[in-house]
Amino acid sequence: MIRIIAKKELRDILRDGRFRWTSGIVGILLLASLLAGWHYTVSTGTDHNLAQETMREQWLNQGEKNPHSASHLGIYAFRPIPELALVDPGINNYTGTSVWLEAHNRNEFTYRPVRDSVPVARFGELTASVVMQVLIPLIIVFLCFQSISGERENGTLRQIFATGVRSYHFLAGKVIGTAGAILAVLIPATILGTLALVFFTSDGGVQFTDIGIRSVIMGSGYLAYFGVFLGISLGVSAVARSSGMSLLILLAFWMFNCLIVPRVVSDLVRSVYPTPSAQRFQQIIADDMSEGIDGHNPEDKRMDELRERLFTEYGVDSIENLPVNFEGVALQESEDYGNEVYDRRYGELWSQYESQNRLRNLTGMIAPFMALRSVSMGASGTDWYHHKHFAEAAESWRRMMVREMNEALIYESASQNYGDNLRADELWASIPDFDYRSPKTSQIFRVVMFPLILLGIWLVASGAFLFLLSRRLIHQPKL
Amino acid sequence: MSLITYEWKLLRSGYGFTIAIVFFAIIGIYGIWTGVSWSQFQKQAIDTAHEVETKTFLDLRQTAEQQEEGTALDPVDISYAVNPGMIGLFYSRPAYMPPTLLAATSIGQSDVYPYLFDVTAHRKDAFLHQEEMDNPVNLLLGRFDLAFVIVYLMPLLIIGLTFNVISGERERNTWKLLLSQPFSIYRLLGIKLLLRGLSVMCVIIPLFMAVVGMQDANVPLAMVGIWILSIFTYLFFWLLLSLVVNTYNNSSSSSNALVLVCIWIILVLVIPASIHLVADSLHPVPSRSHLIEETRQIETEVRVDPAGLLEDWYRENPGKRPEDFDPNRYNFPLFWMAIQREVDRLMEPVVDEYDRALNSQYRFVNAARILSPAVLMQDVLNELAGSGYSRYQHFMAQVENFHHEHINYFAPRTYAHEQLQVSDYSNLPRFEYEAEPTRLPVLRAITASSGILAWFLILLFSGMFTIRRLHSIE
Repeated sequence: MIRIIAKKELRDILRDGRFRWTSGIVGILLLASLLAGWHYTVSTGTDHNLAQETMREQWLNQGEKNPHSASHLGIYAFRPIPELALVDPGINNYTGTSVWLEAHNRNEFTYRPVRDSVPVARFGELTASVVMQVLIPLIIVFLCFQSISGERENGTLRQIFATGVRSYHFLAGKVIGTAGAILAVLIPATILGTLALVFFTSDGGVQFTDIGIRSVIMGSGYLAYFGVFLGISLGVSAVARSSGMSLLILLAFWMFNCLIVPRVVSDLVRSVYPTPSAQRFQQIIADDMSEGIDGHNPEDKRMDELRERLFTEYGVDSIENLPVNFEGVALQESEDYGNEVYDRRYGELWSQYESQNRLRNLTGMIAPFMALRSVSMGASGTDWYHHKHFAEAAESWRRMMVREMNEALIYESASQNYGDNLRADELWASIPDFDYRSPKTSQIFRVVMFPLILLGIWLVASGAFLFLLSRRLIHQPKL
Repeated sequence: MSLITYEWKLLRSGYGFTIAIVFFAIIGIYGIWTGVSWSQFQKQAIDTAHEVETKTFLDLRQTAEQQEEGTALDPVDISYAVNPGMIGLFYSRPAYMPPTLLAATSIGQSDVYPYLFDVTAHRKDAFLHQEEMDNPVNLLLGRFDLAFVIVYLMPLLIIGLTFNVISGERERNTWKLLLSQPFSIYRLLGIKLLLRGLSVMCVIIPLFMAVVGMQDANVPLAMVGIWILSIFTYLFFWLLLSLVVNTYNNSSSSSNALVLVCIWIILVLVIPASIHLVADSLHPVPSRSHLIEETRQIETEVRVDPAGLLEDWYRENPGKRPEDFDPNRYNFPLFWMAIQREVDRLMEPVVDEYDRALNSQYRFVNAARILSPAVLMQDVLNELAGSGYSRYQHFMAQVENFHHEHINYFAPRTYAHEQLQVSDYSNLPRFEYEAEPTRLPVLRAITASSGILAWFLILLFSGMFTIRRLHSIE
């Protein structure tokens, strides 16, 4: 019986001109956005990989110079573009593409793609994720809003039940039939997306080894989200007084879910967990560096103490008599102090971001869009967690490189002259290449677990909503 | 008159209308709050920068005074305070773009474009990356400002209030009754639409006037006028669209709602995103990774012979060569300054390529925006709020000029080994933001606004035919 109803439903939908038009347009948009995403991922990914290689070459071939100059040359670390960014580029456009790793300074990421785009970019990008998060739910609403209320209005509902059809069979048939129609839009896109992934990985740009698991997480997130919309839409169609009322309620929910909550929440979390302006942040760091953290232990005093300490340690009374290069020791000392400052201040800033993100994740309880967004960005590797992971990897490379350079100064040019005994090329080559490894699969689960559970709860709740309704489908609703 | 009263009573009789308008007012107030807090955030950042600037240069000046009086203690500090190279390179001056009077109405691009730079005599790209440090996820999701409420949500509210303006009467079987009344059906529909439209305006205009009233200075009347007129045009466009959709003979309320929401999606979501996609594909901005590679290449080459650069300068400026200049002894601020200038000079054509691509994109979008009244409306609001691309360009040109001014002051003094005097401290170049003349943003807003008017007129003419046969609607 379920099969017959599902088949009838599917046939009805596929015959409907409105469905063909809307799904045709959305299908084309989905394919176009996938293509554009694929192009972006491949070209930018390749550019970044090449640039990273150039950086290494420049580093190795910088020639004779003192190690401190070398640590000022440093390298730029380019963020790799994960394959699944073709579906969801996430925050990639709003964080910089690269960061300069040099002595003394923990630099910010530079060249945010959003600064290189025209104002119309703020209307949102045409990405596969946007099409699936915003437009496909709308198709589901359009397909379902009169699915049951329409039968009731036409008087066919009573007839169907008069034939002895069980109400949950009827509902199950509706769900399957409508889901089939939606799959008709999604399957070509999925095939294209998979092909793009295969082509991309064969292009030599492999970033994630766990692409399979990531795709599965992402796919199940989207399927759950569509399921939620399907359940809610059919449910509302069953309880609404008329098809018009059903449409109004569903559109209001869609608008609340996709338009209002995301923006309201981003302003709300900002005011609950405020972050300082860039100006203020830099000022705090500059003050910490010169006056000491919280105003204790200013820079001059730190240097005097260091000098005394070295003199006692080596039993000498002047810098010239030290067996190590004083400048090198002083540089590393201030580097260590700087790292402490950066750890503390970036720690504070990022913990604010993370509090913001946690609070935002909670809103997944009132809007499944928010939960899906986190799952989608997390799985594609374009969320805050992945950005932070990369930024931290880059920062620890920077600290390692600077330390190595300073130690070369300290121990290998003890005569207080730069670079006397240095074999430059060997020194440069002794610094390992910046080779970024993406986070482990288990970490991804930790990031997407909570929003994924929320989506699961939504799915179960919407299913239960439908099931509960199935008993009283025949009654005239009051809503 | 009585018709208006009756219609108003009818409108108020259901809860739906009141709830929708109150909800709209609440989100409007939230939008204003968002905008106001953002412009205050910017103002505070600029104030902080000014305080730091004032204190730093006061301290330097004091040290320079002590040096002149011979009472200075720390030799390191002194060399900084009178050394034009060190001051030019390491003591920055803030160049800033303050929020405008109407900034709170539309955040626009102002959260992704920098509004504050610490300009030094270093090469340009050393200070051009001072973006705000907002959580990138917040930036991605966008701001809930008054502009968002107007551009996105107001049309949806209008659709919600008017999608059944005729079909509803037909479904209740009151349409024929209305046709047989002694008043013109056009008058009734006019009143229905106007009452709904004006109720929406009664929320927006007071909110806008509140922002205008909050400012210390007077907002130019032309700006207020264009702002209100554009919103009216945009609102009437959606009202008319709803009416036209309603006049189709066999339309039911739900199919009207469906069609209207589809049109909304196409005009507000799909077309803008597609314009962006096409602009990106037609005029791609070259990868910034190439720029980074090129900059480093150029810098490496320039660093080889800074003394040669200086010799060139001395040849062009006879009499400026310091007697103790030794091309073989690395003199930090002197050589470094020369390197920075040369890198800037060599980078100019490279950077131009990026700017050209961006400008082509901008020109394309400026032409293509006519395809979406929502983009036009957003542009009007951005222009008047000073959060659009043009004002940012105007600011960037000023930053560039100031950078040159800063360099032109410090570089020659550095090369010539001159020392700064205490009296020089009053004449050091400072950035003063110069606002665009009001007519420029107003003109740009009028251009965008006339696009919305064009949409309205085209719709009016093409809808005339169906609107005129109202009497024949079954």
